[in-house]
Amino acid sequence: MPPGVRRLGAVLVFAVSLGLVGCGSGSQTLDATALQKQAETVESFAAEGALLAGEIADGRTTGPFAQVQAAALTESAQKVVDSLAPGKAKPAPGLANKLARVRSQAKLVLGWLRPLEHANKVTASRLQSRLGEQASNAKQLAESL
Amino acid sequence: MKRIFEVALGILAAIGGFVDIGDIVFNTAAGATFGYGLLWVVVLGVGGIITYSEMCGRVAAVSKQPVFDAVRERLGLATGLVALVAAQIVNLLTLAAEVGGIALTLQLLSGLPYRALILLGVLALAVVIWVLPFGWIERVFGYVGLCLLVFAVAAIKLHPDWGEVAKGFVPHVNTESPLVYGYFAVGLLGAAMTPYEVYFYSSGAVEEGWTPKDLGINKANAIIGYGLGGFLSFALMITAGALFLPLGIEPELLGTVALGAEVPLGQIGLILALVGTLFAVGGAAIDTCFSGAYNLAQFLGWEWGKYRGEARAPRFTLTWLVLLALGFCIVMTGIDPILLTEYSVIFSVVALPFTYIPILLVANDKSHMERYANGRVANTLGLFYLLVILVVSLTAIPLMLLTNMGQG
Repeated sequence: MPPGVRRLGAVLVFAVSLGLVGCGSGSQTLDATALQKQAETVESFAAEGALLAGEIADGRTTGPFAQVQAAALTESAQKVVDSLAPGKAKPAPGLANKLARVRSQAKLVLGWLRPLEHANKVTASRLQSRLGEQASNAKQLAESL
Repeated sequence: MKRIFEVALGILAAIGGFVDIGDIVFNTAAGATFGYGLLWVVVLGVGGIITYSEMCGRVAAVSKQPVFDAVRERLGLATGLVALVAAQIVNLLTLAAEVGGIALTLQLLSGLPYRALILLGVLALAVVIWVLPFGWIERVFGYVGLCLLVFAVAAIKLHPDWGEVAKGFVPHVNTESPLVYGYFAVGLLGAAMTPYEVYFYSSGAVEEGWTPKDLGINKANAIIGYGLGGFLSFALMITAGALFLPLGIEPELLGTVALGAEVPLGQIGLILALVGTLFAVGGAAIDTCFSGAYNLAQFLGWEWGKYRGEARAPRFTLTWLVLLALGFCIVMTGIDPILLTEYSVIFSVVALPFTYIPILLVANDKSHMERYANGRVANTLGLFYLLVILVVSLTAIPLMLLTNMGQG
């Protein structure tokens, strides 16, 4: 086989492997590190939600930006909740309780993010403090894992 | 006076053209993850793009030979074909990511549906490319892309610890998470040295009819333009390090980047950040679209160039139209543009040697370049960066897999 064709083959194999890397699906086993990462992600969504809520409450943002960003945050948080669902996530031995705590924390954050999309200043102010609290809780949870 | 004006225009165009969605995403994510600890990598990357852009601009001005001519001539047909395939895949992925970035930014500005905005964005790009002359495309997107300078103001207003910022410019390795740190370092280098930048730069030099008299402009554009582009990267990273890292925010959305300007500056900061992003990403979409058409046309020996007009370079015109349509189709599948950006940056790192080795060979060839061939400084820098490029191209994929794309 000519070297050029071999190289071309290598490039194509690489491209396919990239595709495969991006197509991970099905149930996943969560070890302590992965679980901690999920808790940090939940913390991130809550903290960003609190930041955005503060901007809405202070009238420092635009309507379209607040709506689109809040909707995107909610969608991302929903994906984390889905990935932690009992049928989807398989905890490593001894981590079942911790997985349940992270799942419950993610659901709480999702619950406070949902109303953000259409929040007025008063609601946003309330959501800011709730999401701030949840960010602290998620941080503590991540540190305890 | 005319020359000073030309230099100023080129510099401004280069600033806007340097920062694309890859730079925006990787610099912000790096700042939110490692604070100011990766600033030195931006300096390294900017040094690399300056070194090689100056070389390929010089080659284009002296010999009228753009990068892909050199690739085919120096690497031969078979290896050149591999380089072409790799470059076109990277170009297409990057173009799709930029198109997705345009739609996301338009959505953040207007609140309209994302898919409708993909179509609107692609149609707008096609009209702009068809109607505007080359120089105007560069300047409009370059100038308005300068709105991104709002991040420099935001960084100052966030009162970062300037001592820590200064420490970030000193090369070091993070010992707590060396692999994730390595992944971000490779990504930042890839984003700064994306191959399409040199394809576009060298072909643009031919489009603008540079001669050896323009070598001063070439040097000024490369050094000051990309240097100031690097300044925008610093601003994005410092903003993220000062705002997102202490709050534990991991930016996964393009809107989060804009939030970095809104928090210290309010609505005006937000709007400038979004408009700057729109034009920087739009400019990059045009650059990648043209780069793909340049590469194919130069490799196959077709007539090419916007300056020739659609009738005199029909296959070139058809190629950029097809690439734009393919980019549109990829984004319409619903793939996340930010994820696509990360893939395109990492994949581009792997393809870097195919682009930069031929440039170094041609720029160093005295029979070809005569008295304009590389001097000692250009060769030393060129070889140093070639070594860096080889290391990062070999480590990019293992780091991506080991760190789950920087997730740890």
